[in-house]
Amino acid sequence: MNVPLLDIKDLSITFKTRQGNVPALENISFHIKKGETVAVVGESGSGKSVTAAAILRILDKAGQIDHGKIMFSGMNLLEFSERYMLNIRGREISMIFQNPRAALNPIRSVGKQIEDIIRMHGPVTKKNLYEHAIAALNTVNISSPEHRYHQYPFELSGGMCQRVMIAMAISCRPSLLIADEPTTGLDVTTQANIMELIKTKSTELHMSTLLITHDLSMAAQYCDRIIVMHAGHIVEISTTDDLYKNPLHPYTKKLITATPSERGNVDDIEFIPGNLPNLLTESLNCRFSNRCEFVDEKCVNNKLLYTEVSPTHSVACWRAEENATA
Amino acid sequence: MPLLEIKNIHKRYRMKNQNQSLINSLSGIFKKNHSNHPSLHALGGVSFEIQENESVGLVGESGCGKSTLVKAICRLTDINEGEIFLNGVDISAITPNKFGHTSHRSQIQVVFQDSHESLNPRYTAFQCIADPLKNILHIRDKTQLENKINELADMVSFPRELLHRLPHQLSGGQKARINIARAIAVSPRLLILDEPTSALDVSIQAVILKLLVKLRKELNMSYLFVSHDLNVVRMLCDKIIVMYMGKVVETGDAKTLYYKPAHPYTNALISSIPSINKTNRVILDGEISSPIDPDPNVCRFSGRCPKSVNQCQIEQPLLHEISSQHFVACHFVDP
Amino acid sequence: MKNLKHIKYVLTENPITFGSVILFLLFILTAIFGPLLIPFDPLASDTENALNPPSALHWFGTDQLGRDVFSRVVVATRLDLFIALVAVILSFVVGSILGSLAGYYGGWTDRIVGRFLDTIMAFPLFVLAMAIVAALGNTIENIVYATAIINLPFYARVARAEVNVLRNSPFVEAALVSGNSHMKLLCFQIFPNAMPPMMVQLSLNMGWAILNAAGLSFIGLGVKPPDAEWGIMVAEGANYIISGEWWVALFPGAVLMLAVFCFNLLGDGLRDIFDPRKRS
Repeated sequence: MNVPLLDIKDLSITFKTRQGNVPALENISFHIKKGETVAVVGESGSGKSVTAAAILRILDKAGQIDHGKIMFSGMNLLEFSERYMLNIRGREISMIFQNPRAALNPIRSVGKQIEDIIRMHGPVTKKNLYEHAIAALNTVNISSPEHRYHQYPFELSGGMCQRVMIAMAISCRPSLLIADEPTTGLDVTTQANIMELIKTKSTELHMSTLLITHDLSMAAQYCDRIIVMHAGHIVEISTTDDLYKNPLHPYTKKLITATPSERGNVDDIEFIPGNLPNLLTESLNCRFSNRCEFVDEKCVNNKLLYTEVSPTHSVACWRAEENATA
Repeated sequence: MPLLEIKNIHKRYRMKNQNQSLINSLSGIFKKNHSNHPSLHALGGVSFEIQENESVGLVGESGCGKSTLVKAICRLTDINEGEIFLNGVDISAITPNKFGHTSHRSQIQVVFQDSHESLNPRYTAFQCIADPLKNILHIRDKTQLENKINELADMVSFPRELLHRLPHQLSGGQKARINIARAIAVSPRLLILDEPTSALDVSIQAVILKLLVKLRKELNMSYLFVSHDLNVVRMLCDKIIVMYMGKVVETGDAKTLYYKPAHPYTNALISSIPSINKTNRVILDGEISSPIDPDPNVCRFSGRCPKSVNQCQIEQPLLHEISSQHFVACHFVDP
Repeated sequence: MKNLKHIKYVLTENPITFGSVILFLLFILTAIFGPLLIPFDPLASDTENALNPPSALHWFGTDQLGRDVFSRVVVATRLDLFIALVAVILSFVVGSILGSLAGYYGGWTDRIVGRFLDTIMAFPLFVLAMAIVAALGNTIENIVYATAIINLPFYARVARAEVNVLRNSPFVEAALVSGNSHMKLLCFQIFPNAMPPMMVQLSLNMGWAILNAAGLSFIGLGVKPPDAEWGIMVAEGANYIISGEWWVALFPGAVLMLAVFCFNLLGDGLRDIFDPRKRS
């Protein structure tokens, strides 16, 4: 049976604000198979974090789900009661966040925090809790776990705090791990360490990973597939190799050329002209149309069309096919 | 003569001794007994030069001392040992309090890391840029001030009509431009940029980087570009300095260092940069060792270094030249 | 413009805040114009008409010396508000200066200011006020000083805490590199950012200060008769409650309560205006 682990269909979310309604996400559809590592790449305002929050149903009160389905192992998460979701969060689907030190309780030792999670989700006796916590710390390569158990988040470095978070997240062997910008703010060597750890654990536990990031290079290094988002729309979904060899959406292409890489010099990097559309006032069919060099009447007047160029490569652009062959 | 010359500077922070009894600490106030206090060695003998119109990149991770070095150079803090020469004048002899009143203040300016936090939340963009013009150049005349600020706004492509806005009403890119405009307002010879684009989206980063390149050419400034993003540093800088735990471990021409790193740490740093083409990656294990009273005879990288041997534990490697203008502090590199 | 819009929003969203603003304006107008419009001379005694209950002629009745209670309450508004305002402003100015210096320079400045504030806070505040007035003498000036001193620690502590945090902000470093001296930095850049929490304190303190002045007068350490002041009127009227002449104490007491109530609610509203993080 090849039912994807996570299958999001036509998800649309609106935020109600004092100034009006903001259609933050519009018709988002993508899936993640078991064991796969998928990245959602986008800049600020793209809606990537909103998507992650929606999956776990931890959206802000102002966020309203207009329509859509979030199918997890064949069941629609949006239809579950909050009580049922408590069983899902931390056990079936786990999440780790940006700024790990802020995500941990500052007045509780890290060992005890790991125990809290284990106690919440598993039938484990008190004696075993300590052993489980030490085992969890070992799993994420934290040295001298007996000593670290008693330490508080402020005593640990950023990288260590993130490892503790990962330990907490995988303690109940979830099927899906959502990592929301897990390495932003960490040193580049620590970033590499953490990402390698996530990759190793995903393989070990046969866990799917959804990586949310603004860093296209990081997505390329660690993920099988990449979903590119812009202003609440998905603009392209593809395998990593394909995306770099043959980017189809003008935004994806611009994103690739704007990122400093190991070759070339300053004149080679290009910036993306224009600004994000104001979703309060502007209602556009294609939200990239006012910044796109290929825009024409079809783009402005017609609803966004998702074209499947290959079974693993789809793009939301009217002119994609001509650009592909060009 | 180099524009800036840093000679063997040390900076130590005295830490509280956790184990001291009350009697000892009280008597310590009167005796000024410092030997009981452990100290954090933020900078352990850093030396380098920046020439006129040169762009130098400073790379290193948290705890390497980059922030302390930046503070020392722009005279926000004092150093314990060593000298800092600006155009041949020893500015480390001038205390931070007095430095603001000297003519040197206008020579070194800084674009700080967080472009939002570096702006006074109650000052408009106009007032932020006006600050150094009033304090350092003593421009009081309203028209003159306005003209100069408009000129600076144009130089950084900041829309004039937004000058009356407060920081929270501006976008990330706009705030970055204001920080840059403020820093170049007094025509500094040396501009220190502390991770100026790390908080920005990739598309905005591209704009700001191009702006920085343009400004350097137009205004004949030298840059000290502090960043953890080696790709950016390679593109923008002529020379790169790599720091680890308060010491310079490697310095050389940007391209050479990037494509043929000599020090194991530089190698690890470069291989950690994510990219689609990466294969042989060096992943550093473990944590940075304690910067409190480190043993002066032990190489500070030896705990995590993939190449570490006995010699690294008994002799501190010194910077030596391995090829033209390429210096490395490691026992393993043959000249 | 945006500030006015926000103020308008706060006022319309929260009817209680709106009400307290109206009440506040009423008190201010009474303080300014009241004494010019009162029907009777607050000091004129008319013993024949002593202790008359409220009537069409005397809206709040008359007290034990035949004086019109209503006129006296109106005139007292000016005195009470004046004492409270001057005392609060004095403690705000001195407290913020001390607190800011302590928070910015730390070290011995902080230690000395800290011990000074600790000394004030070691006493139950009202007792301290009593002691100060008793020692310096029973004048309105001394009530003002006493009230100012006991309220000083609030401002000093808030100022010290805010300045201490702001001192390490990146914008302060940037301002130093822009050539600001420490004093300029403290006065023009740091302090304006430390002010919002103190603005809220100002209004709340007004309520306390009024209560304080009234309290001191109530026990005889403050405004002397025949001056009209809410506290002293409640004190004098308390003697007559048991014999049934309730109006002598009730009306000044009610107006006193209303004034404190008004300032407390105003404080909430000010908080909403100045500090969006703490919106109720």
